[in-house]
Amino acid sequence: MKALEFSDVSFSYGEEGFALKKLNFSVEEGEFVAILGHNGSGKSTLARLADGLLTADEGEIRVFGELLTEKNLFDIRKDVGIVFQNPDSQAVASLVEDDVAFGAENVGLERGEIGRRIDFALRAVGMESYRTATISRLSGGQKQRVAIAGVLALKPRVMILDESTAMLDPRGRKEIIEVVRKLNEEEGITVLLITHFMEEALLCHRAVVMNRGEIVMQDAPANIFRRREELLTYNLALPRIEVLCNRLREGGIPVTDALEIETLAEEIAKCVS
Amino acid sequence: MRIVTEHLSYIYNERSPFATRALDDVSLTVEEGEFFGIIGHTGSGKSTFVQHLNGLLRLPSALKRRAKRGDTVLTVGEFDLADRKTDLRALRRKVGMVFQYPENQLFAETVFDDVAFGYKNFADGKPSQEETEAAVRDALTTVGLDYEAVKEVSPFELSGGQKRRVAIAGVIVTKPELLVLDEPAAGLDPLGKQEIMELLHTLHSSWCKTVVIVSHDMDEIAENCTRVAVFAEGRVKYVLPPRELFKRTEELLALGLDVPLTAKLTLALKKRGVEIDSDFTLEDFAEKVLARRRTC
Repeated sequence: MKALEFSDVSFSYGEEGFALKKLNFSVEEGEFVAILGHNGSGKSTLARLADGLLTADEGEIRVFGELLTEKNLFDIRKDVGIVFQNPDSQAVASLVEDDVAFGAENVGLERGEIGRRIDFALRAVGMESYRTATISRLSGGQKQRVAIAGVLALKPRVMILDESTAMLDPRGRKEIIEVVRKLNEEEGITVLLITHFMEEALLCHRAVVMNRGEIVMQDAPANIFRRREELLTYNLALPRIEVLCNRLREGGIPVTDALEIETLAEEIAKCVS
Repeated sequence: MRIVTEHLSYIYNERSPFATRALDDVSLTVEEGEFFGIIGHTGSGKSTFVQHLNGLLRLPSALKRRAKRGDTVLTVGEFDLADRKTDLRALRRKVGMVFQYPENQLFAETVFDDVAFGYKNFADGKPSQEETEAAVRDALTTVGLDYEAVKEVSPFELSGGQKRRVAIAGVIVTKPELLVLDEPAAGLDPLGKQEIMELLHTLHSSWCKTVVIVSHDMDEIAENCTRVAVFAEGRVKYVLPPRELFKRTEELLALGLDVPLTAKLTLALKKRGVEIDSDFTLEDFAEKVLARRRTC
């Protein structure tokens, strides 16, 4: 089953040309997809259209087969949760549990159920011991995990992370990626990860590259990063490990493209000893 | 400008239930001409430390200092920050401070006005229109923007990378001798990151003799810095050049810090009996591995 399906979707912000041009794109249920692209390539526009925060000028968007319209917008948003970039601008309450409950209260769940949802969501992101903590005193990574919990409390089937790791330190980034991977593997939640960190894309099933409102590449991450020249034309950089592999290959060490530290070390060791 | 710090401590909300010791007896010297890196976790004291460098955070009074472990010393170039009479305006003209996400601080209606603000603020007397224009033109050109094309534009209409350049222009417009940047490349796309780092090198070799950056990106640190200070729990754990620092990969990982890719590989190779001695830049590491291959 397709979790998301865009057919010939176009969108523009006023007169400044297209943000998305006749986009065709789909995501299977349970998939973990990375979306890459330089600033202004249309990644966030795509995320906002999928959640109905923006309305397409042309084309159709289907969520689990259902056509997204103004009428079913609120129902569909229960299925598609979105987490944004800034950990300091997403909280609506001052205490963790109030913030996580916000979405669930908004859709009118009954009290007992909200309590159970908060338990589930905080456990899933590893923040159960912070239930009554003050959000402003948490670290960036913890704040983002609370934001994810707020989305989880609605039991979404798709989760979109729009550069949710961009403002975090390495530890915070790792926390988020681990939580998201776990949700994908254990809860079967479909994940769209929009990111500038090429290393994060290596963890996904499929990577999609956007440029000027169009999808220009989609493939397994390792295959994408093998097409170096092409990536550069889209103003994207390669992961450092890929840059190093290329450099070694040019020098005559035939490393494969496993793009994994231990494997690469093994290959180098074989070659030089 | 040479920075000398001895026995510097700082406590937020002192004498309240929320008291937090952010710096604990920090001693650290940065030589003039360095491209100095500061790394450490969120909450390790990095930002508190750099905020002392242009007097945003002040030392406790002399009386309180004497009661502490040793005499606190903090000098930046010719400025003695332990002296309450130090001219902070003169200091801040020479010490440019670029905060995290500096584009959030843009405020004026045009790029020109935004960059001119700092210049006018710090000039002696009232600068003429020509002087201001020359300074703003110079600053915008240096950060790689086309002066004529952007001067009348609202800074809010620019792209993320451009906004950050404008914000940096607004700081370097006074031609500071020391430039301090808190995570200058954070949040930019990979190309934007690369461009900002190139810009910092341009500045380092022209206007700002000494550059201090706070960064979480260890690859960035390994590629760019002359020396690195590692902060942990308000203390300075190490001050070493990257070549020496990243030999301590295991200690750094134990501190919960990341290390550059080259350091992870060096460690993984060592476990397999292959010793590679590089300066941890990608180029040098690859070179050393290839040299090793040629000899066997």
